[in-house]
Amino acid sequence: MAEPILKLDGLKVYFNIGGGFRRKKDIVKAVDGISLEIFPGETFGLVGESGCGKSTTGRAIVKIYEPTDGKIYVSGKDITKIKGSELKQFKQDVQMIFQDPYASLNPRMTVGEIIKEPMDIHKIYQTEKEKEARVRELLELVGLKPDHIRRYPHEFSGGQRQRIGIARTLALNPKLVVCDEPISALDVSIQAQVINLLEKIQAEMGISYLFIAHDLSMVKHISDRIGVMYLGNLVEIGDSDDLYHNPLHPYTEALLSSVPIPDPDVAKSKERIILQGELPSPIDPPSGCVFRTRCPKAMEKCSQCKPELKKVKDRMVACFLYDE
Amino acid sequence: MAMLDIKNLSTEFVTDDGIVQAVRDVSIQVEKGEILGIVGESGSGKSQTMYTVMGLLASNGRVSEGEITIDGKDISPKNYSKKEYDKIMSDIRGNEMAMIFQDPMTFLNPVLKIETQLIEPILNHNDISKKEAIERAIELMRRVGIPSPEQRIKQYPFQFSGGMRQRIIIAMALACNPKVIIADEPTTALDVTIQAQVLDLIANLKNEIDSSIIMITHDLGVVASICDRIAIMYGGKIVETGTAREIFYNPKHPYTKGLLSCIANPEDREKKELHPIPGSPPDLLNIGNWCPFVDRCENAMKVCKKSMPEKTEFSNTHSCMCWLMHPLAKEGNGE
Repeated sequence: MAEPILKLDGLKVYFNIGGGFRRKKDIVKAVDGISLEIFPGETFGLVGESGCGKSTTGRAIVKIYEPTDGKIYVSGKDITKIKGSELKQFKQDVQMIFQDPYASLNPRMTVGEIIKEPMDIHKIYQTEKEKEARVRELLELVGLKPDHIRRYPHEFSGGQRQRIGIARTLALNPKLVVCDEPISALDVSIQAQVINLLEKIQAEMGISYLFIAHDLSMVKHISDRIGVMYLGNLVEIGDSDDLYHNPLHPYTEALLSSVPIPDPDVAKSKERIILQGELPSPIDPPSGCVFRTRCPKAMEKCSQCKPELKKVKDRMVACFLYDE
Repeated sequence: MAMLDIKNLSTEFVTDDGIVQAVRDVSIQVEKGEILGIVGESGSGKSQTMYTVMGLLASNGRVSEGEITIDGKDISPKNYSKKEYDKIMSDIRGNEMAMIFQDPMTFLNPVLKIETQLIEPILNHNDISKKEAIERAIELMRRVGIPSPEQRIKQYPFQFSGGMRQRIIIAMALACNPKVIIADEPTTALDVTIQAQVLDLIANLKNEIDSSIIMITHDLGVVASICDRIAIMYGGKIVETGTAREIFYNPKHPYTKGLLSCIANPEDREKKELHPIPGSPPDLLNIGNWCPFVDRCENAMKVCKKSMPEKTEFSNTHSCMCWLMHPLAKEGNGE
């Protein structure tokens, strides 16, 4: 098999909260030891409910957050401690698309300046003329008009702004793009436009995506493989179709059964597993398996030790139900 | 007779740039005990239609036309003076009609206990003592599935999670056994597993209380799972109405068809290509009196940009506003 473009090995990201004068400090275990691999040209979907650590994982990969423990390998090289020119090279290889197309573009820069900025920083073109030609090419690639180059972000709709963000991301020819909820701020009819654009770009440029989202139907549509997160832990990884139709982990099963299906006959006959209770606090996660407090199949063993992510058939599952 | 009857309703907002026609000539009926879904993208007028019905328009909004009746009683703003209208509506709001909002945290007062907030509508609309009202509030909390309501009623909103807060809002809406409940994106702010809990609750309550429920949403999955009838809104107008099955299996309007082909159905085993609708929704500022979808429609004809399409009925429940359905269009005569 080819070398993975991204490999996470026991990644942990903890945040300190509270503290202060004579106050107890608490630790939020946002990401608590996850390992996964993404291969060239692949789309890996990361799903889970709010607070499960999926966005924190994405942000740690692009070095917005410093990992507490664990290693992040990009093209085989550990990037957690890199500096200088290596860091610069890393930032060319790994880019990010943000959720909110209104907040992620500087309102005082023109579209041309926004897309050109990464090229200026990394000095990948010599002359202004070359840069402008590349900006126009990128605008065309993302479905905007090249003469939009002198306009400002406020002149565009949400979907168009997200296209500008995508053009900026592509300016440095990245190998991996972390997409953090790229469509959740957009209207339904616009979401499909952006998804199709991301697929087209992948087909042309062969980049890999880490696609983080809570909309499971879209994640399933775009991803080759999906990882399911719960309370800072990966509970299952599998091929997207296989995982959807035959979930192994009880949480995956419950999560997928709650996805509303846009088909009245199927939706009304579908058996839903309604999970009881709410997500426990990541400050004080349950002992053993983190899902055991809401799990319909919890056993005694689940509270005593934590299940490891293990290979079951061609899937990775962290659950004692699949122990021999 | 319909429980809620909206006829030719138009609502507009006066802004510095001109008049925004948010709701344009909308007519819809809600029958007793049914769940009606109103689906549309942001700016399609779905929320403003219901805000108009509830009499909750912003200060620059006005109703330019239309009749609204609830259970036979006239509540059209233009038939009354402002003072009379306010008096009628304060009797009706929370009592005969109640609303569930999208964001439970902004709806609840953070400095008042749940108890105080929950008994307020009960005391306002019923002649009972505070003690009886509290008993009823606890009963309501139990009905919406909040564990140990006797203790939890003494707590403040921040002590509840998002899903629990939404249950409290639902309890509040149910407080006076309303005839019509309007739910404005009730599950959009919630996670999928919590969304499933809340939708399940709404579907169960519907069987118990026989109120009519109007669900405003942009999520076609949500409508498919609980709505009996669906109205699709676009550019301030209802472009198609029908039963859930008619809309999903036999859509007529190009916009409805477009919406259905740009969402992914996770049940599909084969990867289906998404067909997005090109362009973006129209600006409702100074919008012309022709089909709002014309600029994004693949099958647009000359007539579409000239006048507003007429309503074509396919069955008692299914109708659509599109020139393509006109008998002349079917003969291939594009004028």
